[in-house]
Amino acid sequence: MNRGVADGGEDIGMVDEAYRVVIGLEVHVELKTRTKLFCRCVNAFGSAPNTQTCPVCLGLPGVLPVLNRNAVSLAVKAGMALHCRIRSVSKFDRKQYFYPDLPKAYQISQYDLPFAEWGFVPIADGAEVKRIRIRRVHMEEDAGKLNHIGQNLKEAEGSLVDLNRAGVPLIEIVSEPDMGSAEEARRYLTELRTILSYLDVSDLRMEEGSMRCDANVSLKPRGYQGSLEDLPRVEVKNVNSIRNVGRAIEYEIERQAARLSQGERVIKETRGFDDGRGRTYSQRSKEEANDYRYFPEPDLPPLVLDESWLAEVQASLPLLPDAWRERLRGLGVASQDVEVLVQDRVQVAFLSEALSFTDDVRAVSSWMLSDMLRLLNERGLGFDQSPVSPKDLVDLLGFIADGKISGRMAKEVLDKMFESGESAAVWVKRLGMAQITDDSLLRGQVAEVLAEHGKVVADYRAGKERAFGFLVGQMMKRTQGQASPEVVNRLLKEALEFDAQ
Amino acid sequence: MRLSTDLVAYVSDLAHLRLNMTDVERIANELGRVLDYVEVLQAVDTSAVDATWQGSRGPGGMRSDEAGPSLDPLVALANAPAAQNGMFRIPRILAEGEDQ
Repeated sequence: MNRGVADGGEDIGMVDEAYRVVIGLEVHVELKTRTKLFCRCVNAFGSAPNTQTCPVCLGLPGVLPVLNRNAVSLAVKAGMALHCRIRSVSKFDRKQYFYPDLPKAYQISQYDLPFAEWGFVPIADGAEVKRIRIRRVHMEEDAGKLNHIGQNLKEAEGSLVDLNRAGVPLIEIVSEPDMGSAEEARRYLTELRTILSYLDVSDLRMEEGSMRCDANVSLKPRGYQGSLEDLPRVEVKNVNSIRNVGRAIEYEIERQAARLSQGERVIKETRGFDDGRGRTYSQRSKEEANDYRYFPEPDLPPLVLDESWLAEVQASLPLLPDAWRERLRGLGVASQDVEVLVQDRVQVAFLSEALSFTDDVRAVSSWMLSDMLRLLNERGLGFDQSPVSPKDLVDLLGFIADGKISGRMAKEVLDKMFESGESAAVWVKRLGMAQITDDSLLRGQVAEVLAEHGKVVADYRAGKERAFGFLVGQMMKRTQGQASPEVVNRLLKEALEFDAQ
Repeated sequence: MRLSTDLVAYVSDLAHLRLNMTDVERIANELGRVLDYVEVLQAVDTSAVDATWQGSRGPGGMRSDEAGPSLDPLVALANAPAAQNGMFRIPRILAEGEDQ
């Protein structure tokens, strides 16, 4: 696959210059609520099968859904952070289809009036920033989990259904087909995940399914004038990591290009991704028709979001990754450090707290990304679990800034702080590290050293520079290495010059 | 309004209903009469009436995000035609030969 510049001058993916790659992504994100979207069952991952179900999420007759206010709040937060327009009135609809993970045989979703529309996610490629447009974000309920008896769906002799996940609140984030390569898709997903992580609205664990991605991939022949919607689109379903989304897209581009170059048609279909073989495979199920027969959900009133509530949610938004990038660059943090810091919400939270105690953002970020990160990694901890708090780190850096300890000493102190959870002050004292910088504490000893070594002093005055080093050495010996070398140098020179006059 | 038997067969297929040809003919007639009535309704001038999709207007009751009790899994599975390891057991999902 080659990358090239298309007619319009925009940078997009090209396959043999004959096709333009068109990628749109649908991302499902489970919201981090205590309970499900329409019932009071607990929303938690990893419980024993079917222990979190009730007549509502099992789809038993005669029950009514009641909307979880917190789920709406988290969803709106996400919509706002993705720069969407939030509808003050939206509604829920029934999407009807038969699949064994869907007990009601319909999913409560939002069809023609999603709560959020027309947003974007900025993705950076070096200095270039491209906006991937968000078509819509809507709320819906998750389906249950199928466990296939056998290697996979293809070979399964049957499946086992766990409905703990049925009814868990989801948002589906639908992008416009604005991505032109697997790399752009990866960037989009990474930035989307980072933004959502700042909001703390989801666990975002792709391996556990709390964030899932379907990729729509098609190749647009050069000179094609029709609508992108009419191109035969292949949907690769439920890929379990950002890396694998990229691999699946790369495979699909090659597969479709190969078919087209042999004069064959690409069939509009749903495909799965085989991680081991790095290939997609056709996943037609018995349920063929994409005719969902949507209609307005009669059991739920319209979703009306009043202005004051929206304002409240807006005010609760944290500083987002892009704003952090700008802030840190403005404070003089190196670009590559900014990128590493901003990727991880807990790093940014740590830095943010540290900055409430100091202005020296460069010192804090450089210690965070070197020694702090090393010590945390050794223990398998994140910045939110660090035994050394932001305040502790700032205190340690204060000892360096005041000239009380050297950078090398500080590393040793930080090790001890990690082991014990005690403060920098405690360890500086315990290790006997505090440098003696107080002139008055050292002047008397300087006088004594000069008196004891009259011959060396005479040598120095006769022009023997090396004699000075001997005198410094004597001072360090007397103070067991704790005297600040700079202070000793200064005091010795002052004394030698003064006596010479 | 006359509904084609093909359309009835298609919709019944989506709804997983197994109908024989006699049923399809009968239902095509019945649904046709329902649609005739809808046509009567459609003749009413509603240009001055706002569209609605719901009987009740205004913000409906949302609930707080507090957990309540769930069913005992044995109760949840009580009506399942087959169960295994605390889960509903279902037949193979994919049709044969649909895997290239």
